[in-house]
Amino acid sequence: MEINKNLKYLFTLIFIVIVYCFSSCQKDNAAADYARPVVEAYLIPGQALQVKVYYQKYLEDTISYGFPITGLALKVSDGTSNVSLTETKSGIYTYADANFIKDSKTYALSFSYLDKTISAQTTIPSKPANFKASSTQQEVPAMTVGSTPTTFIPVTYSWANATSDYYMLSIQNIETYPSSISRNTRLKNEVLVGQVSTYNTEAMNFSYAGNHKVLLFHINKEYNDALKNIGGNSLNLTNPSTNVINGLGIFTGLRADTLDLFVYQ
Amino acid sequence: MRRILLLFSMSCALSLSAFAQRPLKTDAVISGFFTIPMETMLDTIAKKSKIRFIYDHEMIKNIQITDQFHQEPVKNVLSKIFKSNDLHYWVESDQEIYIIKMPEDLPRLKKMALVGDSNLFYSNQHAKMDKKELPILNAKLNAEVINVKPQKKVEPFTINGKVIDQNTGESLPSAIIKVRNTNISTSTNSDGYFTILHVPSDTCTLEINYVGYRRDTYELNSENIKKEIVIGLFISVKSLNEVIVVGKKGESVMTTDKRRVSVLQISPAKLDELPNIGERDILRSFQLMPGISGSNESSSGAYVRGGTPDQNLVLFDGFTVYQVDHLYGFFSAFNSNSVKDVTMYKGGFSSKYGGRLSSVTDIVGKEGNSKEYNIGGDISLLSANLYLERPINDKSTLLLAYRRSYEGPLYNKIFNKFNTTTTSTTGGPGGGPSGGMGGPPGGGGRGGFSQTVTTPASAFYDLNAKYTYAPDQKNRFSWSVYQGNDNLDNSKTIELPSFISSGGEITNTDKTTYGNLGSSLKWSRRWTPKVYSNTLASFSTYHSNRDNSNKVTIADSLGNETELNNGTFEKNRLKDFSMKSDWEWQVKDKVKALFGVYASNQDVSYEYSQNDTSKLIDQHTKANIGGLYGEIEFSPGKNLQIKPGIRSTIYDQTGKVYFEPRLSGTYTLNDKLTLKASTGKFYQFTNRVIREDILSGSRDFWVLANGSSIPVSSAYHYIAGFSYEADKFLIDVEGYYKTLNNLSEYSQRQIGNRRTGISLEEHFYTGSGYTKGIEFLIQKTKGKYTGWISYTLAEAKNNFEAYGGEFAASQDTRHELKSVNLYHYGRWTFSATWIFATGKPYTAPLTSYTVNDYSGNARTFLTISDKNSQRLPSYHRLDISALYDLIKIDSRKIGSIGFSIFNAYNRGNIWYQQYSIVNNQVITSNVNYLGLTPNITLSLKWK
Repeated sequence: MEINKNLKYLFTLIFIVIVYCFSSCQKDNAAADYARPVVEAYLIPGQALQVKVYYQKYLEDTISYGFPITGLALKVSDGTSNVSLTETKSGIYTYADANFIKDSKTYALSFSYLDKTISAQTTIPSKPANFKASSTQQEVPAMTVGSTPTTFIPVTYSWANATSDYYMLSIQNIETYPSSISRNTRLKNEVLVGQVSTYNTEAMNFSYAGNHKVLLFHINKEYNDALKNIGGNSLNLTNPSTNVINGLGIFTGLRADTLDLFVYQ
Repeated sequence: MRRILLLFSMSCALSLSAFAQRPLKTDAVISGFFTIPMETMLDTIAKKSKIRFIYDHEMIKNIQITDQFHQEPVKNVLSKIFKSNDLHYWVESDQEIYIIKMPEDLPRLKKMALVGDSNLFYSNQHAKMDKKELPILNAKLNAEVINVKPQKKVEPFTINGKVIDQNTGESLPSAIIKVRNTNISTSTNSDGYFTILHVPSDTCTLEINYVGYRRDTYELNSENIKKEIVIGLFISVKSLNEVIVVGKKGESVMTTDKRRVSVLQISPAKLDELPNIGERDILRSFQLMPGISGSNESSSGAYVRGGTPDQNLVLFDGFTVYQVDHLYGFFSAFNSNSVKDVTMYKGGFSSKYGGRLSSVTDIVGKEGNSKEYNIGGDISLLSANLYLERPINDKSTLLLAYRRSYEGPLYNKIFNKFNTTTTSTTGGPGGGPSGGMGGPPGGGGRGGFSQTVTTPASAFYDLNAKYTYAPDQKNRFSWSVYQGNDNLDNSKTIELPSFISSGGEITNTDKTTYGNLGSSLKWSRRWTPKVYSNTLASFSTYHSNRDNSNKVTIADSLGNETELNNGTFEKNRLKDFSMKSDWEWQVKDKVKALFGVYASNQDVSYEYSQNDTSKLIDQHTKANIGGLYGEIEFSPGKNLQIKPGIRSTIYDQTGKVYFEPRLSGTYTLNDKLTLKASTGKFYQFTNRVIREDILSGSRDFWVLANGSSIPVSSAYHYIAGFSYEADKFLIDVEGYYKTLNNLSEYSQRQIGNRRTGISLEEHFYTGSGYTKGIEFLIQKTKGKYTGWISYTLAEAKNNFEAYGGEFAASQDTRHELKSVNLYHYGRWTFSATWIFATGKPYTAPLTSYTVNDYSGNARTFLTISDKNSQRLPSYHRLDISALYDLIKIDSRKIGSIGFSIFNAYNRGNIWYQQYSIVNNQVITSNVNYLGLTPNITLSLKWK
């Protein structure tokens, strides 16, 4: 049977082709890198250096933060000196010398964890220049239903930003006994304003009445990228941005200028 | 709705009241003195009158006719010879006559036809059926031929003709005509014409094959070869058990120009035998064949061999259709009642087609019945459709078809699938990324309000019209229009309760409209029997709008209303004006040339605006595409056929000329076994971009390559395979390897928030990819039980630097097994299809972590797996259906009732997963495809 013979050859050939085509190894998608530590450090000139190191959380975990990673040997170098940090609390590593962090210097963090070197680097940005406010007082009209609400008149903050750097505003209530003016309970509201040079306040920036400090932070892009919210579903998932190599989180320098603001209803 | 029902009940009543034998339509007359057996007499009459007799050989084998007629009409002759022999006849719808002794013989004969009884004989002017089925008759006829017309030597000559549907006069494209016992064969062109050169003898027999129709033969003689031959085929009845979808490869048909690689063809007339989700669906039926993914319920577009639906060119009567589906992809946009022929090229296609990387679906619309007026329609739980066809005069025909959905239970079930509002946690204190896909803005926080929700009108419709005018034998003009639209409205109006305000409401508008309007004007001309041209001017427009906005109106105690508006608006428009001229030239016996020119102007715009005022994206691109192609089909050896071709296109956005060489060939080892292979280069200039987030915007939009951020994509195909056809089954195996270059992926990220002003970042990523696979098809083609098993082993990989290198493409499916089973029992057809497919890859969150921002507010993030590194569970589902033919006593099929159950064992196949963060915990929920869904379809036609 010539036909059968032909078929047999063909099937053999096909089998060989299949084996060849599909024998390439599958990349082992290693049990994701749960091993990557989460780093959180904000470097501000004149403040003691503090670095927190956490574990990540499993998806089903209900804890607020990951468990601290203890017993690490963290080092931070400013290019000339290399200092070791001390673990003052579980997972919180500090260097007490408040003068260690200086303007415009570059700092590099490194430590080893599970046979990997975790590192990150940041430069302290310059102090914001020409930070001004259109007013030192802010009225937040009460939310009323059923009547035309009083218009919210924003306070305009402005600063010099010729080089389109990134900025962040932190609006902090400093009253000892603050009185609430909204359902929001945040004492400190943070706004990533981006690469702009003005910002108009909005009602939702204020949760409490009384004295506030408005801090304008000159930040690095890494801060903006790492902390901006991302949405996610199975069709739209992206990894959060981080400047920590072999890790997650943020190690960044900030530089602030401050104005006062009184908020009333 | 009520009107539709009324219309259908009326047509029901009308058709049922028309139970009667059909009149015998023939003007033929019989003259002469006969002393011959009845069977020979019937053959004689059949030849003269173009009537086909069906009879039991046993019943009339001993009857002898001795009679004389002079210019006697056939009707009288039949009356006379039957009466004197105590016989009766029954005229069928398609001029077939059953010879019976008593009324019970009619069903008996039909049953014999059903089981293929060898005693059942057929006769007509071009004789009988298959040789094997009718040994005696064939022998007899052959003997007669030999006796009456002794073979004389003639020079090889040329014949030309046309293949039509015997009932409606509709021309049949891609029918195969073969000269029996030779390897000469050809196929009809898009208007049903064919030419065969070098026919060796005027006593040859032609064998004609067309999917969904009875195989037929036509005997040449010295007279009929002189003029155009018109061969009328009959729609196959279930007795012949032809399969609905046939892998029409080179197979046993030893064609000189019909051996094609990776081609599938479908007969819409027989689609109702397959289970459906509400509609007979042309494009979905292809998904049961190997190489075309069957596990994408939300897309009736074709994922061919690892390609995406936008890489599949869909042509309807020559113009490109950009929106091929309705209702978020659940139904294809083509009304099967207006479609004559659908051919899909899975790869390595001819240089006649271009502009897409993966495949071509060529749909030819019906021209309409040229013989009589007809009206018909279907009604199902989802939609109703109505068609009308009629000859306007003896030179022109008209077809109109309209289909519209109504908001029945099935429609709502599918609609809601796409519009479920998921409650999501948004970034409160300690909150994280807004989880899930969220609903439309304003979707949350409604609890507790007494809602007055309006029911918006939401529907799809499509309309087909075709007018064909054939002033003479050589020219043919046709004008075809297609319009399809979807209006999907998920808007809600919620009235605010009085304890909140003195009055007011929240209106959430969520309206998606999309559709396609296309039209073509075609002029076909047969210059000489060897030269044929098809010139076409067409336009096609596509539009897609999405309005997702909120309007809040609050009235104070004085009745003053305050209005707040916000939302997003998207608009995508595409206009395509095209001209093309395709030519066929039968140069020599075994050489045929195809060539043509084409030009098109495309205009694409995409707008994304916020709050009706600020346009975040406003793109507008115009492009001109033009070019020419040529292809030669020739057979250097007896068994080898090669088709080299080239296509060159100039694209003004890049100013470059793109050459696409193509080559395909087949080699016939013997009667049953054919080897085949093809390769080629393919370019694509227009891409459809899929948005990542399927609920918060229009799901996709078309863009034109610009050579920079969106490059012109290209592909190489390498295909090889064989097919083996035995009497009752067919085995077809094809392997493919496809490389893809300059693929584009798009993502849109909203930056900032309402406080800072929103801007959109657009990212176009460019990468490459490859797909490879092997497809097996085993098909049982005859008997009461028919069907096939298809298996595809495949891999589709993409490589994008932006995603960190190589990853499985989103449509990658390793194994796909499909089993299609049809069983015919009397008027019933039972079918069951089972599909199994490896789960699709997806990207999943692996862990979460929380950090405080500088101000001390906790923010939670998800870490994500490598792109598409996870797999959803396997997809499988069983669909079953039963179809009962409504047949009048004269056995005309006037309709059918179909019952089908989609996803019979209610498998929860996962469509996608969504995530939300609740109390620091990441909650994963699955969004499933349709569960068990029953449907009933009633189809009726007037004639």
